[in-house]
Amino acid sequence: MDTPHPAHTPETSGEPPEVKDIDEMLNERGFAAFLENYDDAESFEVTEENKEEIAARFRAFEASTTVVKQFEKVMDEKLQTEGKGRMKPEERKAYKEHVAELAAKNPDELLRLQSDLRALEEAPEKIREREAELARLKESWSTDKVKAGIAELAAKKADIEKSLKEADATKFSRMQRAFFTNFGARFSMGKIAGHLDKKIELTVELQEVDSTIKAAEEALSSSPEIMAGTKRALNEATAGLESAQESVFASNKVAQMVRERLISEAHKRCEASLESTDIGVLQKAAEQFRRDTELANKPGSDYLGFTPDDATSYEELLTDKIKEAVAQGIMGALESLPSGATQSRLERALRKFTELAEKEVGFFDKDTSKEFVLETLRAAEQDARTKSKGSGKSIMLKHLISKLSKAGVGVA
Amino acid sequence: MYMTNLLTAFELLLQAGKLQEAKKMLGALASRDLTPKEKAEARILQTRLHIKLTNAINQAYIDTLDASIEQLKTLQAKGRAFFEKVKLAKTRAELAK
Repeated sequence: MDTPHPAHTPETSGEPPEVKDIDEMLNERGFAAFLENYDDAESFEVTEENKEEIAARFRAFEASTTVVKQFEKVMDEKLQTEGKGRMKPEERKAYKEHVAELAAKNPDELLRLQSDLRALEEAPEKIREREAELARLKESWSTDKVKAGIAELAAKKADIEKSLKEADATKFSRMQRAFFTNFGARFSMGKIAGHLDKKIELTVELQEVDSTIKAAEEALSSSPEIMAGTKRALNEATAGLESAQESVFASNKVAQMVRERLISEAHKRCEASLESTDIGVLQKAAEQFRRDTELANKPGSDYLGFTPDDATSYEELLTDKIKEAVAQGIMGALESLPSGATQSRLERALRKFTELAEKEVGFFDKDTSKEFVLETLRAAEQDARTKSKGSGKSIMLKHLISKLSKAGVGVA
Repeated sequence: MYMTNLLTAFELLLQAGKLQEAKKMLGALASRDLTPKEKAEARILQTRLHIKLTNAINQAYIDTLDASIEQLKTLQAKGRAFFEKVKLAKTRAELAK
């Protein structure tokens, strides 16, 4: 892998590449630095006599630029899917260095990498197309329609059988039989001959209907197995697909760097959230933590780096902060309410908090959230009864509590 | 040399469809004690191997989808032939009336 590959380039086209002049090539940002990746950088001559080799390395440089972009795209897509933004400049630089090193030391490998990245990029579209076709085929197969068709044919079969029975029961006169023996059988003439032709026709039709019914019944009985087999095979393949996609990022140097950065950001965010007293900020922190915890269950996507104990204690601390913020917020809003304020004014002042009764406060579910808001309002009402007697706040709060308790919706 | 052999062995596993073994091999590579020079090579190689593995698994999934599509198409063809015959039987019955 250490051996330099002079005049070896990832170009695949048979066309001779257009050779730029040396100045033009060196004016391309990054090319001079790229040349320093080669093991022979010290002795490498940047002269007109060596122009062909410089041009070959320039093509390797251009190819590496494309590969870096593809690499970045794969990583950026993964991060954006998980709501983690895009890569940082230093992370992009690491990718660039990684590919530049590969281009300088092993251009063949760069070429293979290019083709593998292309396959990686094209796979989702190929998969989407096939999945859509499979879904369409599954949808258009109707067991009920086939069953109805079988029932129709079964009725038809019964009709034919009845006709055959009737034909068997037909009696012929002595004369008709004599005519048939002497001429009818030989020349296919007369009533008996016609009768026999009809019987043959009916028998053929019966066999045909019978075999059609059998074929349809076979198709019908094999269809659940086919559908189940298809589902099973696809599930297995999907599981493999997901774990491979995850493993692409699990031990990649740059991916680790990104993960470390995201973990550090998450920790800072958690710490900052515990410093806040703003209910909006605290609520957002809880929502973010819920999402991150869910993501952390996916291998390779743990951007929290929390032990279960860490997670529990953060949840407890944040819950306490939220409880405190709601209680203080309600008290503060009531205190700043002028005396003689109306019910509507009180409800408007408390809206930010009463709205929480319909949401998930912190890590509570909806029912617990509602109960928590009601409890806090009840405490505020008790407080108002003693501390703000004569302001009407206690009565208005009682009314608000009553409305919130009933439907829980509409007051906010 | 070690890396070249590893890459060859890995590709053989992928070609044989032994994806789980290929994955184990990656795990072993990650935990192996390597010299600093080997480590640098291993970083590049690991990324490559992971992409190869993903492509192999993508391809296996695409092949599974193709096989399933083929099976359902055969079933659909049987269904179509059946409905044609039902239609024919109906027409015959109408004509016989």
